Amino acid sequence: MANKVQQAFAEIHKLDVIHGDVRAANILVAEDESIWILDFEYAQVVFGSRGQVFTDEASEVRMLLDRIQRGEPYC
Amino acid sequence: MCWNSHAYAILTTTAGFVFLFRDDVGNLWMSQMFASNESLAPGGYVLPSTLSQHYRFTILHILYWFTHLTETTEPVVERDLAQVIRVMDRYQTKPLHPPPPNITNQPYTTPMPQYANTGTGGYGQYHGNYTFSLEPVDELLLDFKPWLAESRCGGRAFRATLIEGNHEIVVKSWDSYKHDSSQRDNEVSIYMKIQSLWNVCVPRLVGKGEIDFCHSLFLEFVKVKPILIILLQ
Repeated sequence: MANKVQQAFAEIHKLDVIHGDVRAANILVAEDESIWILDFEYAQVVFGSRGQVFTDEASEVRMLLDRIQRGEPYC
Repeated sequence: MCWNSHAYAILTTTAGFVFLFRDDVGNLWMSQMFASNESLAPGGYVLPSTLSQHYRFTILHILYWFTHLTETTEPVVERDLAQVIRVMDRYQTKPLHPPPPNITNQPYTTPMPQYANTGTGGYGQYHGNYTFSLEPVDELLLDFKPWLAESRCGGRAFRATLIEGNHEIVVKSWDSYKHDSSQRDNEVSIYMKIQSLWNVCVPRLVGKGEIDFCHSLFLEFVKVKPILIILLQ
């Protein structure tokens, strides 16, 4: 199941989108055990990354840390 | 009062009163806040005596008159649409128009865009083409009852039914008194950008609009597996 989640986020990253709010509440397991990603409220488009979004400036972890620093809710 | 046949109602505290009236199309009218004594006047309450030349006109007079109205007024006749929420400033996702005809009769040199959402559950090849656009629609009606426990999906999400086609959807709403529409609009733009993953690992964006004082977006409903079953596996 973890592989499915990783694959789903990888597909989203390929479209130059960082979700920005990766947590269990935003991942659904459907009845057929397919994985669904929700809540793109904090998502950002990283222009020109061509899928290489895991940089210091733009990554899921970095966005989460930024939100924590700003005092926004994250769980 | 919103979904029953009562035309009049009273909101009351121990000393303050607000009078409500609802008409057939669901418009709810609310009076000023009336006070039963002068101590509430600095808080914005109106004293009943200001409504009449008679200085002894009191809140009891108004209550007596309102009681008379509730006794003598016929119940509001509920129409079929009385339990339907009308979305304002509404947009729905629609398939893009087909490409214009090739007037030169030359064969296409590049493959035509294909729908990425095959519904097979696999990850299709992303081709960078948008196959859906967000378009304004004349009317968007929902069967939406957020006050029912079974409608709640957690957070700011609620189940609802799109009247057209009877599709089950999820409504995600932001209180416009606390948020501007930027968060909703950002989420809508992201959903449009990742539309090649709709029905694959992301629910399809159905539309967006305003419901009462809430900025809202609408997503297809995904039936989930209970967490207990997942943990037991």
